[in-house]
Amino acid sequence: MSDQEPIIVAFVCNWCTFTAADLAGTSRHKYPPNVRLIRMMCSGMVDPTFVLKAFFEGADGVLIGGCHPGDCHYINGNYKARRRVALLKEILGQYGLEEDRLWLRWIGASEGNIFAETIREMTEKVKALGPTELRRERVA
Amino acid sequence: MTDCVKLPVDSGNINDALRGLFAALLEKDVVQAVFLPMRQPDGEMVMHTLVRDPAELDDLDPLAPVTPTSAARLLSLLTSKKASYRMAAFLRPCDYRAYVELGKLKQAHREQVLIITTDCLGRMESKDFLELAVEHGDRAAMAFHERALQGDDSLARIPACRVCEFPVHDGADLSLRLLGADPGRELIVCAQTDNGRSALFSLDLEAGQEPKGRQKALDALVQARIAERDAMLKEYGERASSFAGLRDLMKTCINCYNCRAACPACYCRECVFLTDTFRHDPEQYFRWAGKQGTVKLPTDTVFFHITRMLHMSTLCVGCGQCSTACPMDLPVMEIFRTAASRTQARFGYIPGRSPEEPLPLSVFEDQEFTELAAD
Repeated sequence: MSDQEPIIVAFVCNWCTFTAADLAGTSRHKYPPNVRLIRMMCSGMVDPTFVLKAFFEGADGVLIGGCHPGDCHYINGNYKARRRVALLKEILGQYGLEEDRLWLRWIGASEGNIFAETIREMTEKVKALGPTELRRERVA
Repeated sequence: MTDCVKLPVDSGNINDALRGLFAALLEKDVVQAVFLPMRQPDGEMVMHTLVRDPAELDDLDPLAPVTPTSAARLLSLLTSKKASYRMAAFLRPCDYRAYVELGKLKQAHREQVLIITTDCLGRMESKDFLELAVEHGDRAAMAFHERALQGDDSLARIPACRVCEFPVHDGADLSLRLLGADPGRELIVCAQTDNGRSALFSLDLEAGQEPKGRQKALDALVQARIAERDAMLKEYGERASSFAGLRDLMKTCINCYNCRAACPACYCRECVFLTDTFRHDPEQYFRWAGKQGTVKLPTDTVFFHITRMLHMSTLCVGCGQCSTACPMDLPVMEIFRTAASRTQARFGYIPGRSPEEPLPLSVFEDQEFTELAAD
């Protein structure tokens, strides 16, 4: 269990972050394979329960990637996402989930290199934290 | 010129005095219906009742220290749409706070209601109240309040009331003043809003004064409650500081969802836990058991509680109906208030404080929580 590679679930918005991920790929920017991308139309459609489910199913880290504030394809989805992340951090923080496991990042469509850098950075940070309590304990 | 009226109380019979108030509201057509706790045909149990005929107010008992289910939720049923009639409703401060939140969710229309609240000394579980009612009959409320106002801590009030730091609400139209007063002798009712003032004016009752000792008694009471609240938050903050800790606190939970049904702030018309999302395919259980070696059933127990917190902790008013409804006597109120204290602080939000304050997850600012997404 100890040397296990972390799993990061990334909910990324179609218009910005997912496009950035695509660009990272075509530009051949290297980033670790620990991330599992889930394409959402907008960061504002990430239900906090999805994040909770990801952690309960064993994710060591969750990334929510959206457009920069002011640039949301749907005008204000990312502002809603930001408040939801504040809520999640409080509740998950209460139960001991380290702050550094839930990331909210604004990554624009042209920022392929930043996407790759973010995944590299997150993988390293989350690996250092080790597996979550939810991986070690049976909590249903 | 005072905003208060005085209802004389004869031989400690507060219900007689209150009957005068509610009957007058109906007889003078200030309202066309009243909604208040009333003794049931068995003579002991008290349930919120809608009354139109002032002659049927014999069994009223607003100050009975019991609220079997959330009166906020019941009043929202009565006001879910704009009605043609006006109603007076008696609510504890916690129920009024929950009702304010339901208004923000468009599940309640406050404009047609004259809200009457009280200085609240707490409630008991129904079974404990029945013991009091068997002993004191229609004087149960007086027996309770006599002791409560003297600071008798041995009364079997529920834990939620012991830690409630909002035992009054100054946004209700009318409020009974019990703190610093002598309800065995006279009941003071004060108006707190323009609607309250015009209602009292129409009733033409004897003028009264705010009890002089009230603010001091209120401050002392709130201080004591805050101390108990903080002790509870510390205890449960520590006991539920891990997922396994929460799991163990909820170890007898059977996913009955009574807490959710009883909660006035649980606002979803259709709870996600009752949809296909949680009707797992048998293969799913098999896969979970394969991945972990075992899987406890029912599943999604801790998951349900955390999801409910995500949905409503910012609205939690600490009424304790969740714990009251739990068949396993789980400390649901304590766990939810602990989570709520964090989420409400994060958004600087106090539920029920003001109908003008929008729900924290329904609004946003351009520049806020910028530390969350280190750009």
